[in-house]
Amino acid sequence: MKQKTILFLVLAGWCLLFLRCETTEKSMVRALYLSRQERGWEAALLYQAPEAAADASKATAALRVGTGKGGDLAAALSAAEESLPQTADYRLCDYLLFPEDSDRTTLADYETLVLKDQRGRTAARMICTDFDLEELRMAAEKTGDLPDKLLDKLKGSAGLLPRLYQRQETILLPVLEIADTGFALKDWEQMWTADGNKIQLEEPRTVMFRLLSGTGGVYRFRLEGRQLNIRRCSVSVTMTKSLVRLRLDCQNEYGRALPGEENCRQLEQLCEDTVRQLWGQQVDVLHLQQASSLRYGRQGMLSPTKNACPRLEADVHFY
Amino acid sequence: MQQLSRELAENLAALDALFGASADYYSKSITIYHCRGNIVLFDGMASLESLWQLLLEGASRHTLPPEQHTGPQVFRLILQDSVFPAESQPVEDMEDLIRRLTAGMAVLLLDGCPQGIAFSVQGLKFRSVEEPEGEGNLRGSREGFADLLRINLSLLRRLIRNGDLVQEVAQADTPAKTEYGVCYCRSVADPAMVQRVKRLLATAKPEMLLDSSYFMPWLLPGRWRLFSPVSYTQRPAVAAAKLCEGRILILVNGSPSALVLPALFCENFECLDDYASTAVFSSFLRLLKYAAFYLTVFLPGVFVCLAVYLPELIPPQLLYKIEAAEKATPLPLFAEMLLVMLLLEVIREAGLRMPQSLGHSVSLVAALILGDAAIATGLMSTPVIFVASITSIAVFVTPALYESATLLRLGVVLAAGLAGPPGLAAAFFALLLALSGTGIMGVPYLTPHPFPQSPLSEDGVIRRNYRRLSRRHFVIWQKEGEPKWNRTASPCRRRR
Amino acid sequence: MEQDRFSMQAAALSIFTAVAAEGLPDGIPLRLFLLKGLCGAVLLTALSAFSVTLWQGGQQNAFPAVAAKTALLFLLLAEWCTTFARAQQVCRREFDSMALVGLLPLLLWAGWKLPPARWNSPARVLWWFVVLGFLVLFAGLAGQMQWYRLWDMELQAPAEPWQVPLYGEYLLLPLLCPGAKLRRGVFLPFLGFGVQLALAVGMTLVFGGGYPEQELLRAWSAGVFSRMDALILWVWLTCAMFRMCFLCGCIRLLAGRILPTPSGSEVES
Repeated sequence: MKQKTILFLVLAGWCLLFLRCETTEKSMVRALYLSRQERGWEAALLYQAPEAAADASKATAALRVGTGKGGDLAAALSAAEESLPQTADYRLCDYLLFPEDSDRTTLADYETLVLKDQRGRTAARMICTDFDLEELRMAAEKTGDLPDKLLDKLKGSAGLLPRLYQRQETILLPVLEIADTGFALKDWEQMWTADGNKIQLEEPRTVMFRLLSGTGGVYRFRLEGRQLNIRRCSVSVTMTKSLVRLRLDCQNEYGRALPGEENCRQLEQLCEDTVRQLWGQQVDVLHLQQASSLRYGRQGMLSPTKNACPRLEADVHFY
Repeated sequence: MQQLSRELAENLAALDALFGASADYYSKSITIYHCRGNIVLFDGMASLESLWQLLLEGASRHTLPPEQHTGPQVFRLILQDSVFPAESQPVEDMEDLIRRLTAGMAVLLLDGCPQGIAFSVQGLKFRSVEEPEGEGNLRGSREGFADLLRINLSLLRRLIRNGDLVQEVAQADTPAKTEYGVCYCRSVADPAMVQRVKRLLATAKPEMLLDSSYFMPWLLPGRWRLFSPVSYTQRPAVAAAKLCEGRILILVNGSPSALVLPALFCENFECLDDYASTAVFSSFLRLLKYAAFYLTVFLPGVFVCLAVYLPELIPPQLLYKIEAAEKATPLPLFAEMLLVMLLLEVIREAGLRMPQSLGHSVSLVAALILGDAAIATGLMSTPVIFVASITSIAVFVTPALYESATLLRLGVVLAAGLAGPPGLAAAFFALLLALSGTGIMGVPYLTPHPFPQSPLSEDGVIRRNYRRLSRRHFVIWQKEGEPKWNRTASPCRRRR
Repeated sequence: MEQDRFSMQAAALSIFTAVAAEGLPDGIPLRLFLLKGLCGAVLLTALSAFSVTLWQGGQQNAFPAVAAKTALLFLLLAEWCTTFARAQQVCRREFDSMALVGLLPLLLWAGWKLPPARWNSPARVLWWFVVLGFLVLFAGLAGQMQWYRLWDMELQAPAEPWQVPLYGEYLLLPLLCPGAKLRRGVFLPFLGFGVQLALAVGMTLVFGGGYPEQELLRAWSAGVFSRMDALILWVWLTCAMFRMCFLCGCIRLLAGRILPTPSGSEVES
C-alpha cells in the first residue's frame, strides 16, 4: 500500500512538472506591413488590443499598430513585437501589406521567415499600398479607428487578394490607398508576372483577368450603356490545333435585365483582347500551356514565351 | 431460531420483551372455540377493521362446535376446516412471526399450540402510484412504481400478462431484513445470469438496503468506475419493456427505483416517448441528446483549450471578447471556469435539498449573484458563465448520465486547462477507454452500440420505423444478431 | 483468446498515423511519386503476405524465428520512439506544450496494462474523426486547388534515394489481429500509399510543390474561420497517442512470444 502511494505521488509529481496554466493574454497580430529600405527593413504589426471588460457586450476589438525597424527582416519584426503590450501571436496573421514599389525578393524573404519561424503563413493574402509606414502612422494618429477600418477593408477585399505561396506565379495585386473615410482600392492594379515583370493593368482588364482565372466574388463591368454584374461564371476552353474556343456562361445578377447581344459582343471582345494582351506579356491566363501539353504532349505544347497567341473565339452567354 | 412455545403466556412474554415498549404493538386476548388465544399485530400496519370484519364473517358462517377444543384442534379447525381466509403457511417460529407482523399481518396465537395463524389484513399507509418526477414523458403510461414491493410486482404483472414473467422475492441479509424482488422473463433471460444475480444478491451483506442501487458493489465489484452498465427506472412500462428484452430487474421494498441490468450506453439517450413519436422526430431528439451529452462533457474544456492554446480556431469577432473578458477578471480562464462549474453544482445541490417553499427565492438570489453581481464586480466574465450555464442545462437532457458527465466535465477542464490540447486528447481517450471497458455479465456497455460500428443501425443514433423494428425482436443476450440459445416459445417475441 | 486482440481497424489507424507523420520525399514530382509509391506498396504487400505465411507455419521457436521476432521487437521500439518524437514536436511547435512528456507514464501504463481488445472501439471512433478531418481539410482547401499546378515543369527528381516505409504492423498481422481477415490486412501498405498520394495531390494542387506538408494544413481557410490546422493536428495527436499505446501492446504481445511467461496468459482486464 505504501509502495503504491509513493508510486502514485511520484507519477503525480512527474505529471505536474510538465503542466502549467496559461492565459489568453497575447497580442494577436492580424496583418503585417513590410517595407524594404535602403539600410534595412521597416515592419508594422496590426494587432488586437481589446480593453478589459467582464461584460463581453461592451468589449471592442481596438486594433492598433506597432512598428519597428531593423537591419534584416527578422530584426525589424522583433523590434515591432517589442512595441506590443503582450507576446505577439501570428496565428491569425492573414494579410501582408507592402509598398507598391516592392519586388519579389521582399516576398521571398518573408516567406523564408514564415517557413522558419511561423511568423505568419504562406497562405497569407497580399496587397500593395501606395502609402508608407510613416504615412500610415500619421493617419492612424489622426483617426483613432483607422486600424479597424484597414482590417475591415482587407477582409472585404480578401477575395481579390492573391496568396503568398502564389508569388512565383502571375498574380494581380490591388493597390490600397488612404481615403477620406478610411481606405479604398485604386482603379488600377499591379500584375506581377511569373518572369518578374510588373504590369499596370486598368479596369476592366483586371476584372476580366479575375473572371478568367476564377478568383473574386462578383465581377463588375462598366460597358457602354450599362453596368454589368456577373455573380458566377464558368469558363470552358475547347482547343484545336488552330483555334481556341472560349465559352463563358455567366450568371446575371438577380433583379437586373439580361444583357443584350451588344453587351455580349463587348464582353467577348474584351475577353479576347485581354487574353491576347496578356499573352503578349507572357502571361498565360487560360493555362493553355498545360491544356495543350495534356492534349498534344510536349511537342504540341503552347508557350507564351515561344509561340504567338493562338486564334481566339470567345462566346459569352448569360442565364 | 426461537420456536414458538405451546404455552401462550410464554409466547406473549417473548413478544412483550421484544415489542412491549413499542406504542404500535397491539395484543388482544380472545377466546375462540372455547380456547384461549391472542391476536397480535402492529397498529397502523394491519387494519383492525378488516380483521374484525373477517372474523365476524367467518363466525357468522360457521356454527360453533359444542365441545371445548384444545389449541391444536382449534388451530386445525381454523386453518383447514373453516372459512377463515387465513394464510396457508402457519407461523412456525419467532422470526417468522416478526416477519409477518412487520408485513402488516395479524397473527393468532393459541394456547397449547406451537404454531400461529396469520391473516392478511394489511392496512399499511403508503404512497400511491404516482407519476415519477425524474422521468418525464409526453406520451405513454404515467404510472410510476410505489414504495411497496408487492404493489410494484403487481404493476409489472399487470403489464406482462403471460406465464413468462417470474418474480422471486427474498429477504436481504441485513439487520432490517428488507425484502427485494428479482424479476425476469424466463424465456428470454439468460438462465445462468439469472442464477448468478440471485446468488450475488443472496450473498450480499449491505448494512442497510434502502434502494436497489445499494446492491451495486456486489453486482459490479471494482474499485472505480465512470459508467455503470445498469440503469434505473421508476416506470413500470419501461421496466416491462426491459424485461421483454431479457433483462433482469431488481426491486427493493421501500424504494420505487428499479435496477435494470444489463444496460447499454445507447439506452441513456432513449426514453419512453421515442417509440410513440415518429421515427424522424425521435431520431432528431436522439441526435440532440448525443450532442447535448458530448457538449456538456467537452464544451468547458474545449472552450478553455481553444481560448488559451488555439485561439485561431475561434472566430476573431468572438476571440477579442473572450480576451477582453479575461483581462477584466482576476483569475485565469481555466480557474474561472472551474469556479463557475463548482458554484453551479452547489446551486443545483442546494435546489435539490432545500424546502420547496424556499426554492424560488434561492434560485433568484443565485441567478442574480452569478448572473449580474459577479460580472459587475469583475469576478467573472460573461463568456465563461454562458458556457458553464449551457453545460449545466445540457446535462439534464440525459439525467441518467448526470454523475458520469459531471465528473468527466471536471476532468476534461482540468486536463485541458493544465495540459492544453494533449490533455484534451488524453481526456478524450480516457472517455473512450472508460466506455469500451465497461460491461456486465458478458454484455459490453458499447454493444450493440450503433456508433461507430454501424452508425445507421436500425435503432441506434437514429431510429427506423417501429413497424420495421418490430420484425426483429431484440434480446440483450444476443451476440451479432444471433440468439444465444434456442427460444422457440417466447411469449414476449413479436410475430414476424 | 483470439477475440482479445487488436482489430484490423486499429492496425490500420496505426499505419495511417505513421504515414501521415512521415510526409513526402522532398521535391518529387507527382507522377514519379505515383509510380514509385505504387511499386513500394506492391512490394510491401508481398512482404506482408510472406510474413503471414511464416507466422502460420511451424518452427516458431526455432532460432531464426526467434531472431526475427527480436528484430521486429526492436523495430517496434524504434517506431514507438519515432512516433513519440514526432508527437512531441507537434506539441512543442503547434501547441507550445510539454504536457505529452508529463502524460507519458499514463500512456505507457495504459498501453501495457490494458488488453488489446480495449483499443478497438477507440480506433473506430478515431477513424470517424480522421474522416471528418479529411472532409474539413478538403472543404477549406478546395477553393485553392488549381488543376494546372499538376503540370509544373520545373521540379526535377530528387537526388536522394527512394525510401519505402516499412512498419512493424505489416509483418505482425497474424500476431496482432489473429481473428481478423488477413487477406484484407496484407493490403495495408496500400492504405499508406493512399494517404501519401492524397497528401501529394493536395500539395501539388494547392502549392505546385516545394513546400513542407504542414503548410498545406496552414493554408486552410473558409468563412469566418481563419485556420483549422490546429484541429487537424489535434486529431493526428490523438491518433499518435493511440499509436503509442498500440505499439506498447504490440511490444508486449511480441515479447510474450519471445519470452513466454510461466502462466503463458495475458493480463486479465
